[in-house]
Amino acid sequence: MGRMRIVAFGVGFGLLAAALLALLWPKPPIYQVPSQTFHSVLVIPDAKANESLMHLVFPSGEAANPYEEGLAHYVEHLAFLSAFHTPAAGWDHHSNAWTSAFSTVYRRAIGPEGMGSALRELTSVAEPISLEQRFALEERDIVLREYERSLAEHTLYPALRDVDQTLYGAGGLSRSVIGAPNEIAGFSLDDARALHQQSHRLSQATLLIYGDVNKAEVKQALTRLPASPKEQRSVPPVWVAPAPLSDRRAYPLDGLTEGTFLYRKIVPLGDCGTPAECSMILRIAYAALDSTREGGLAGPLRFDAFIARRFSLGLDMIAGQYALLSFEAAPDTGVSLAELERVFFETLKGTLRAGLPHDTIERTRARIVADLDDIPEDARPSRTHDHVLFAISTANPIVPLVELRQAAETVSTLDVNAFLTTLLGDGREVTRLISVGG
Amino acid sequence: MIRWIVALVLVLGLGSCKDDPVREVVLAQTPEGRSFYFMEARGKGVDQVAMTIAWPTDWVYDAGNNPAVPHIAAQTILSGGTEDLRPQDVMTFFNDHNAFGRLDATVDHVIGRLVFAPEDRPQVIAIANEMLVTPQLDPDWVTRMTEDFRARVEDSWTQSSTHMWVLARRAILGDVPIWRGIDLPDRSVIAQVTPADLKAWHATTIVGNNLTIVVTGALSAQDAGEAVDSLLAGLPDGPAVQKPTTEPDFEPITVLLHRPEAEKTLVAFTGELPSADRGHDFETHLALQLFARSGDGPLFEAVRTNLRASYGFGAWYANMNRAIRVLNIAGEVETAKLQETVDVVRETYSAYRTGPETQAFAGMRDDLAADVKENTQNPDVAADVILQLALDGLDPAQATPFEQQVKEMTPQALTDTLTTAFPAAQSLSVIAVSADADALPGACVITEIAQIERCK
Repeated sequence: MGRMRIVAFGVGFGLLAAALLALLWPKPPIYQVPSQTFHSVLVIPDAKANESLMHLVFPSGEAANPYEEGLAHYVEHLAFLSAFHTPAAGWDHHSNAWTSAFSTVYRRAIGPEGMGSALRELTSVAEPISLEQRFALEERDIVLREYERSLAEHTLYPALRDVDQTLYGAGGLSRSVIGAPNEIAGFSLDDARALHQQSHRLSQATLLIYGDVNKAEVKQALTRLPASPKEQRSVPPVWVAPAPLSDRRAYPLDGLTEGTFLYRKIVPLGDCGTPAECSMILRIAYAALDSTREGGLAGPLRFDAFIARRFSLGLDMIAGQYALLSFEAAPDTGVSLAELERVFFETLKGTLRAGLPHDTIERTRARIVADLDDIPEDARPSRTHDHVLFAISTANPIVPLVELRQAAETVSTLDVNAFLTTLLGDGREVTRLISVGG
Repeated sequence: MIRWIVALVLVLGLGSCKDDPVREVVLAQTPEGRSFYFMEARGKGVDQVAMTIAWPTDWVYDAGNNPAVPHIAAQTILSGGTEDLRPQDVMTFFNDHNAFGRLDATVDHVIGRLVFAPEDRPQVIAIANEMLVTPQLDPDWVTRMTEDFRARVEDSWTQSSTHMWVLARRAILGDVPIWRGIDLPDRSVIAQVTPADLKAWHATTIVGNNLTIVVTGALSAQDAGEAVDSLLAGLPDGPAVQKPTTEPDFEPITVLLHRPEAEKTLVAFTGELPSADRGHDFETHLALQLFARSGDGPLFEAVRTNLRASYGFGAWYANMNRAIRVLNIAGEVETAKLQETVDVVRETYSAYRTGPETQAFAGMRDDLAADVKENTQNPDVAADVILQLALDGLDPAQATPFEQQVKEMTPQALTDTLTTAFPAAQSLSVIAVSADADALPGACVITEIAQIERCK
């Protein structure tokens, strides 16, 4: 009942606030353009953009890969080279690509040759991989070097993998996006081709166009592309194993230079309102929990007493379905990992049960509003583009910045605290006390 | 570990556009007679003030001083609150008011940065002034910051890349105080830092004279001058800073550091570049960008596309101090292809230096100009740029807007810079780290950084 009353109040207040905000925050346009080729085409015009860009997002990443771990990333390398690389000229440095658990993304700048040409090149990532076999297999060595660059000698990485594998269980998010060295070295080209055929379908993809472009130009370029076969959108993979879990372990790790406490909990997002409202609730809850204000973790852990020398907190929406709370900390001198764990849980659960004080939420909201309002009008299309691209490529709902700004007016203290109670509920949680090994 | 504000000026600049008022840098005076550079910046998206101050220091040049002290002191001074405000009260105030402050220690200067909204000036300045003049230096906070610094330094030493770069700098600088200040080869000094050390460093470093000061943003010159005087009120004058000249050694060597626990093989090429005050920053930066750009750059094509030995190499420059600038080319490489990589990088660099392909020049120059223009909109960034110019001995008040400098750059200027300022390929040193002691035939193989002298 309390939530209903607040929601009703929130809507009434929100209408007034939205009217006022419309004056301060004219909507940067996001067009949806019909297409027979792609699942959807979004256009964010920005006449002042330094560079016009296209991103092609396939909603299939490592989580949907049924083959060796890391193969989706290898496929991305191969598809990119197949589409963009020529032996004589390499590839244009304005092109790029990346893979995550959720998606595979290709980026192409729109150069002087025009949108049509860039679009043909970009969409060719979906064509069968046409690389010479030796070159394609050698690309495994390049991926190995990429692994070395980012993960070899990363002292905490084994513990982080352990946490992911335990937290997500049989869910797709437990898989390593880059894979392990022995797996990478053995990637099969046949498997890569099969996965490419399965994951790189234009009918499933979203094309995001940003920059000094107009709707008519986009429509014309799209008409020159062949139509894709009609098909339903693929069902997303199971991201997280469904069974609740609470798993706590303590162990040493060789090479570590400081004891480290790790905690993750993932829960269903629950009924938190519209996507914009849910996003804003998570933003407020995160910033308040991270702060020195009453209800926040920083006071009890870092300032009222010397418990955590450093800590980092995260609160993220996962695939539009879950909320993930992440916490990592190193204890102060003379404080054990177990003592840090005790104070952390005491503080966190105390706040989740009692809720954040209204004053803490209001001050946090004011900071977020100030940050959003500080985005210069000129920069809003660019920031909206970044925001939309992030949402599409992480399987999250698209929340334009203007809607997020509006949600800052409508979300109430009760909404935030109702969400916090969901973090106490059933979910999957992993606790690790990692001490310095030999 | 000291991390220089490397080449900050390269990607920043002081520009204006038709929609914004013209921004000019002037040399102004505070009511109490301090000189400072000032740039008023108002208009779209600008509602903040940025103050940047450089305190000259010679602390690490004195072999009797503990080189870990500046890092820990800089962190502790701004973490301990004030006499009336607890540390969490200060943090809450700054967070609520979207204000920001930090101190960074380099071997030549301590750089202070303060950013705030104009209406918060009195409170922010009062808090920052008290922290600078009478820092709390609470022993518990000193312990926390010392341990934090120790953990970060120890973690960096688990990385082969740290071993490679410390070795590269040791080869150039020698076993002198400035090298020990940059790289802290003896990590045990961190645990030896005491509150008394921090007080001594504070008393000799955070002083009221010989400063380089910059204020930018949404305030008048008069208000800026008053803000400077208030911020520095009560700081005593300190002794003159005296630094010995460091003679770098760029005699080419080829060294392999054998590190059995290394999980990857890395190689770096280093060489001498003219110091920061000699200019050519944009030409140098763009020449390196063109050389190492991914996809179709000559270095990338050589080591990744053709040799298939690396995910990608980077090329950049780094300042050891204001006088010593180093060219760096480096990347991870397949161990079995290390020798081939060394040969190919040398050949590719040599060909590029004497005959750069300039096909991508115009596009990359325009991209750089756009980045420079975008960065100029931010008073915080602009204040840093003006400060770096002043510290390089270049007069910010006379500087051509950087965006214009970049736009006017010609392919010939780039070619001239490469041929006159860049070292020849045979002058480059090769520094590798590998678990395979035989990975680079002909190299001087060592197992400890201190053994480098035997390779010279």
